[in-house]
Amino acid sequence: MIVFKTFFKVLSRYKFSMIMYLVIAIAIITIMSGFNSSGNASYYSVSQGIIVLDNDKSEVSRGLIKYLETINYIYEDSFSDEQITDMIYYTKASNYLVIPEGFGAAFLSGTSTPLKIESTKEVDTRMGYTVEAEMDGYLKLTANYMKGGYSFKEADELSRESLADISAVNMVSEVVIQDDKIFTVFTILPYALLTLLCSAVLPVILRFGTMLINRRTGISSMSSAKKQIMIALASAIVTVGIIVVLIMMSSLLSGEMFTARWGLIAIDVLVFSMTAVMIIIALSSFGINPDAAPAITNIVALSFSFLGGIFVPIEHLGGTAKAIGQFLPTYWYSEAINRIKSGSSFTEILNCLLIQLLFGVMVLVIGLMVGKHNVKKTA
Amino acid sequence: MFLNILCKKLKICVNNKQNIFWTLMFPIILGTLFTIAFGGIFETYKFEEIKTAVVFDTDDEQVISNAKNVLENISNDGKKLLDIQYLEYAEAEALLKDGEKVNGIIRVKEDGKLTLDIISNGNASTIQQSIVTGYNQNVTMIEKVASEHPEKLGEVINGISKSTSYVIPKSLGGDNKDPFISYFYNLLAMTTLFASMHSLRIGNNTQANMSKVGARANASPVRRMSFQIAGFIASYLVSLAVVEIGLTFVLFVLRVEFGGDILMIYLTSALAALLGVALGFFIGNLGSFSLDKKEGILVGITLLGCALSGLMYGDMKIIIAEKAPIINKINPSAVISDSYYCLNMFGAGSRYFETVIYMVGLSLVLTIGGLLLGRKVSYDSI
Repeated sequence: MIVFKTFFKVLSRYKFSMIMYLVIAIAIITIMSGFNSSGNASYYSVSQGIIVLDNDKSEVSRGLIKYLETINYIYEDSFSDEQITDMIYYTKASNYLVIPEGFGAAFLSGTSTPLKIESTKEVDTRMGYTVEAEMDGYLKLTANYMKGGYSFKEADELSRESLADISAVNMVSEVVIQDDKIFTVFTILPYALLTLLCSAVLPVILRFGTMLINRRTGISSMSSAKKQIMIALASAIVTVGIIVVLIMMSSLLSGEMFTARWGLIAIDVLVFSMTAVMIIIALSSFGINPDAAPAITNIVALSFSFLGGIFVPIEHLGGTAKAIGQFLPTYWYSEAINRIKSGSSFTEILNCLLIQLLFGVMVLVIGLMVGKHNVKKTA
Repeated sequence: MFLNILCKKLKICVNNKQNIFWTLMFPIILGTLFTIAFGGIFETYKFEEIKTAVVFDTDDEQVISNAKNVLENISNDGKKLLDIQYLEYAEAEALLKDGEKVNGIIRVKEDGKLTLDIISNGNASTIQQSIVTGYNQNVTMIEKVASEHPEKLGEVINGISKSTSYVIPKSLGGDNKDPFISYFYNLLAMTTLFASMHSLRIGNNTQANMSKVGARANASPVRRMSFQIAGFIASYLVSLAVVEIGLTFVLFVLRVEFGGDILMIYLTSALAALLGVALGFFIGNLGSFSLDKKEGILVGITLLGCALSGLMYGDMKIIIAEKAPIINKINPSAVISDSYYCLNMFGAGSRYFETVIYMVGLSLVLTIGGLLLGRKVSYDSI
């Protein structure tokens, strides 16, 4: 029991970093849960942020902005050049449009050389082209309606109505991908889990394994096996506690609990947690100094998360990243989430769960072998 | 005497191999992984002709010819928007469903209108939809004008056939516009701030009640401040070397293009390392907590700062800039990454120098604060 109690005593020294990692995880999850992933249940136009500087303020420019606003998010506040660059660089906005003075008058005159709208975008980005295509589409259609004998007001209304008609688009996918918040929230969970386990459980286990402590406990009446069981039990309790807190928190943030897909995701989280614990045990066998725990936490959690599609979706990663990612449990965790998104059942995500466990077992075996070698060397 | 202490402190810092190893491992391991993960993402943002299958559900030569003429000539900024393949529907459907080898199928119908079959939403689908909708609306418009203003029909058809553009495209300034490069800026910020671990022990090692080394130092005739300043300089020299080696690895081995003048990037890193060491020095002198607690505080500040500046989620910085801009102004990690960003996008201008002033100013405040905190600590007296 003394080892068990001491485990929690030592753990209390790391409560500050645990709280810190929990705060970071909650902040990231909360912010990312505000974004929708791309579902395909029905068609929708992709929305872009557009910064507009309307120097014309005519009915034509207002009509154009009103049309763009039906699809996109318009920023009409006054921004400095640096702020505009920041927004485009960080993809908050795709285009910065400057409508020149006299644009409306030139447009209404029907001249063949109209005044042009300046569109600043990150060179060659699809998002930038999308907005320009939308703008040109609206202006051309309106101009042609006007050539057909309609007033600007009529032409503007006709164009907006017709361009809003998306009945020509058919979504032909056989698999419906859902885009609910629960998937975004739970996708980020492994980062929180890894950081909390690495920053809390790992340094405590490492402290028990330091040479002096090990020697002191080695000469005590308690058998090594009992000591290991106590440490394992305490680690399991902490891990279960962390999982419960994270699942509760994520469920509250996503507003979904005890549904069939929630159950599947919870199984995915549990399997990943088991794998994460195996990774922690393996790492503790390498004789690392406990003071290195913060560094290891960051390296392990960030690398697993970036290559496993936790922060950046798997489909966006390059070929090499995907190839490497397939050897990580985070990749298969994300893959299971993606399959649940597409409506897969337990049997369809089973291989993702088994691969995660396999990874854990492999790492654990390697860790134990290294640990055994280290013990022999010390002896 | 001071030089003697400095040499000893330098030796102590250099012998702390574990600290040096892990600080260096951040840019090396994570930089390599970031390069692998983000290397090709920006390329996918760039516009490429959208692979589109076109299927004719009609034999009307006029309809086919009109549709071909329009679809093949749609362009923006001199670039063709669609990469067209004319196929039978079954073949096109197979390509669409087989890993999206085409992004959509445009079907030309008997009535002259188009439909679009897609399997996912996205920018490419939105562009295809705007083309299809625009085309159909031209057909509807011709029908409408023909019935309501037939005398204007010729003018409308003439207008449709002209390729008038209302947009002048302009490109954003700056050297490297890849937004994923900001992950490397934040990685460097984290490396420089984690270099603070080198100076964290200075406080405890100069206080008699905090460590044995501190007790010995206090028993010597040398002033405590000399130990502190020597420790600070030694920590800075080691941190500087580690940070610059890490930066060199990222710039020249991984070939990450930071953007901006290379000398300025190195100087910025030197200032950032100074800020990191000053932060560690200040926290090291803060109160009489154990080293573990101080380490916890330092890791917490560093990690929270890095998370808020976008190390885990790139858009975090711009979100913070919108919701609580003051955080970006005072968060050391955000300021460091912003200084690299400024060099890339705006060069060494006023915004860059604001970040430099902040780094130097905060370093001075933290260093002086640390010295004051550790100056006149008294212990048990008779």
